[in-house]
Amino acid sequence: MSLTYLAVWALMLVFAASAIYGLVWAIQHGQLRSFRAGARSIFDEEEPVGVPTDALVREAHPPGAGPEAAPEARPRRGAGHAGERGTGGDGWGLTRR
Amino acid sequence: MERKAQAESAAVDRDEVLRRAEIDASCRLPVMAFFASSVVWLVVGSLLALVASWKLHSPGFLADFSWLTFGRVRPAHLTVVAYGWASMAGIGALLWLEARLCRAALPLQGLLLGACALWNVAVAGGTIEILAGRGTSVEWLEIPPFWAGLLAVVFLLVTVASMMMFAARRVSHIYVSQWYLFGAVLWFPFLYVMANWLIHMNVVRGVTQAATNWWFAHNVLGLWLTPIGLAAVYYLLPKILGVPIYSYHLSLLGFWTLALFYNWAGTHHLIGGPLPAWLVTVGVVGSVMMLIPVATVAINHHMTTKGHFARLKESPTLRFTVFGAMSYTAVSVQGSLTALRSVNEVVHFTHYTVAHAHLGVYAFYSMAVWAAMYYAIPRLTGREWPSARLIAVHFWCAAVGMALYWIGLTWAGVEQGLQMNDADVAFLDVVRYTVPYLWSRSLAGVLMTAGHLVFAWHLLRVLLPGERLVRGPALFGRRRAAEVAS
Repeated sequence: MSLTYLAVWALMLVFAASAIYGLVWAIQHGQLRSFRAGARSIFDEEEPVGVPTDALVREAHPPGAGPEAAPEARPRRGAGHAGERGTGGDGWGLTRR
Repeated sequence: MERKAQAESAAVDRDEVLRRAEIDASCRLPVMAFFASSVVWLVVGSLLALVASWKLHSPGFLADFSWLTFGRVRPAHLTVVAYGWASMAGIGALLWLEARLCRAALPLQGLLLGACALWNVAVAGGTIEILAGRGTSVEWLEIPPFWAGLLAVVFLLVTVASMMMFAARRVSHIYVSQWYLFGAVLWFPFLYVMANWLIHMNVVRGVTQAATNWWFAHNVLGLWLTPIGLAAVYYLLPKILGVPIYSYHLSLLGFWTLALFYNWAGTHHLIGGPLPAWLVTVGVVGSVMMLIPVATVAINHHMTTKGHFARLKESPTLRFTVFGAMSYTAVSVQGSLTALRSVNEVVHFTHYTVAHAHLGVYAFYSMAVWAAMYYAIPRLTGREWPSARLIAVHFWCAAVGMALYWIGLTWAGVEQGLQMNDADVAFLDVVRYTVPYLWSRSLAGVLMTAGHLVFAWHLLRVLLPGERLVRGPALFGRRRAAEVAS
């Protein structure tokens, strides 16, 4: 039984140490700096800040044409799901963001 | 020069879309397998819940079937919704979110598909054993050890897949959702294995077993479901609205304070029990300190959504997300207050606790995971949700059902507790007092189950190969042209 309790305590220490290690690692690697950039890290060129993604309708673009090639097809705020590209690649004939 | 810049920008756009499409495509089969399985278990769990609820006010209902007695149906319901619905939907959401946050393809796809099958077998086997009267009688760990061992294997595989994605990530910054997902995949498998080992292998007995049991049970919500739910909300809310989180440093403070306080809270379930007073006090303090991470989350979610509430009228995902986020604040504040000895002395062992548990797992977690499913599934399958009306029916059945459930049982629970603490009130009178509220509970259960059936039917329509492929968004209050796939 004493070995069991030793194992329990050892595992508890590993458990606690892993959380502390995570925090120290985050500090050392600058994860807790530049909060503005961090908050924006899930956005990118295609889904930039200011453009809702759940509610966007985008007309399919012909192969090779980016969204800016058809500015009138630029998503409008307040409409449906993410953009579609007619270039396929997902086996369904649609590629969703 | 400007045209060149535009062309470069277009190339970046295409690259981003392709990467995102590749990432979603890598997730498609495993994540959809987990999602689809979870919905089957949601329906099964709802039916078990209805049977259990009905028996509380009509004890003769199905009384001739030993495997449907309350003592078996209730733990079977808990097992099915906790490990079948909530965990499978959570693993699906977790894998998809991790892949997107790391911008890495989902690894081990074949193994994860097998893991999904194994998980289904384990939940089915465990539930059958419980209904056959061979459950362990340890709340939240009723599944017999053999089946629990299979679940542990899958937990570990999910952890390995998550770590592989993290190692292969193409972004340097770890977004707050990723931290929460780390918490889920690193802490919970450890908790699950430890709790099963300590309790089922007879390492701890008696009072210590109860302490271990509630340390684990509370952390099912705190270190498994809550991190997944909050990760989904922190990802979906900014993405849906197109605005960054209001205060990113508060969001990180929220995660680290949750990591610090939540795992201490479990022993508040044993207030009044034969435990050392300090052990219970630790649980009470941990519970009250949870007000810090809860406040950070509440401020962040409210301030991020502020100015965009009109979008709730049209965006299904946002509606589920906001309902879930608001419920998180409500259930957490209620939990902190309930952990106070003065409150707990009244509401412990009453229907109030049942209402509180459903506020957490249903109103917060399930709503958040539904939001993730409504957002992710069109992107995973390339198929839109066919009907905005069905989504609305699902939402209102779930929301109204949950409100009715919580209000009725919370009120009944407080009164029940006050009456039980009054030595002049006969116990049978207390039971009689609660009966109308138990009917309201069953009515709420019918509403919620109806919503689940609608959701299951809707998902089936998305998945059926012969179904019309609808192009364009499923939005409330808007008409959409349907297109038949070639």
